Amino acid sequence: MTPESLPILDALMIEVTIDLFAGYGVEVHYLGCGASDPPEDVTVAGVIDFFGDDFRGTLLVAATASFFARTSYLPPPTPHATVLDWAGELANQLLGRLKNRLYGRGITMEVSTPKSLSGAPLSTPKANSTRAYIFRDSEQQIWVRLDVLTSDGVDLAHPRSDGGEAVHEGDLVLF
Amino acid sequence: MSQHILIVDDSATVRAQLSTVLLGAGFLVMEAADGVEALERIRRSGVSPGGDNVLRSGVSPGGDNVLRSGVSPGGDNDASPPVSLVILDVNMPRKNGIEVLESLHADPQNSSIPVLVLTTEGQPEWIARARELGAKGWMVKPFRPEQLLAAARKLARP
Repeated sequence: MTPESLPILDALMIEVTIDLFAGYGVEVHYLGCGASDPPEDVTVAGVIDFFGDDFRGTLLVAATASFFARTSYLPPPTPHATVLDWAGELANQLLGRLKNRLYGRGITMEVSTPKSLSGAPLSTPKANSTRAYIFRDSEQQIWVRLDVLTSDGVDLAHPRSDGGEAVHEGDLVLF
Repeated sequence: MSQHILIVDDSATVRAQLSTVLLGAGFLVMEAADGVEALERIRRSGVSPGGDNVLRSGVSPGGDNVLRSGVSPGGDNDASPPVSLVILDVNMPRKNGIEVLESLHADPQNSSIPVLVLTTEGQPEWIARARELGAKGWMVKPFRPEQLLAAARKLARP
């Protein structure tokens, strides 16, 4: 990846995370890049893999169980199974947003089905390719980790040559 | 109104969210957790019900008026009500949404069932493929309830 692409990727990741939770009525603020492991009170995570010729890796979004329950729009009490399912779905939707943004910059990828996990403390292997982003809403932290390997020539600074763009979140196209 | 909408999504939470909106608007809801379950539910639709899986109305999501594929008490031979609309995710285990569309497109008995794709995917190539295969619409998650209902009312067949 070109040197100027990394801050673009960071900016996209921050933008799509804030937008995702805004879509579920939760305002989150970016605090900065943090340590590679989440705080101890963060016990639930959704995980999803992505793979393509030039861009592959894993996205993880982690928060407290109460945060995930609050964003699910389902009436309480929220069973733990629902919290886990929703964490995976949010990872899927977060990656979907990133994927749709990257499409306009010439990156295409396939995605796995999401998984979820819970436990304390959450600990993940660290790598040079790890980017960790810390957010906070009015009550607690949300932790997003992107592990990404790219081809040397990946350049996110320019739009794709054919000008194509993905349909945006919330848009409806009727045929 | 007695239109039955089949919700196909591997996330139980998304299915519950959709059910809440659709039931509140008077639709009846069936669910499937992946493409294989969805095709099985569609295959069984339109046959006279055997009794156990008749839907009841006016109950909250997760209750008696949500018919989950594969869990009907009467077993595999149960019939399902005719499907008025399928709301279909793409990224699912076993059989994804595009593969479901391919199967429906190749099946003369079910190729006319309207399908609204609801997914995180927004790539034009995927949307064009879905349109080729007969889908009637494409919505990128998250859904807005009023928009979803407008689409459902427009696309669901009587």
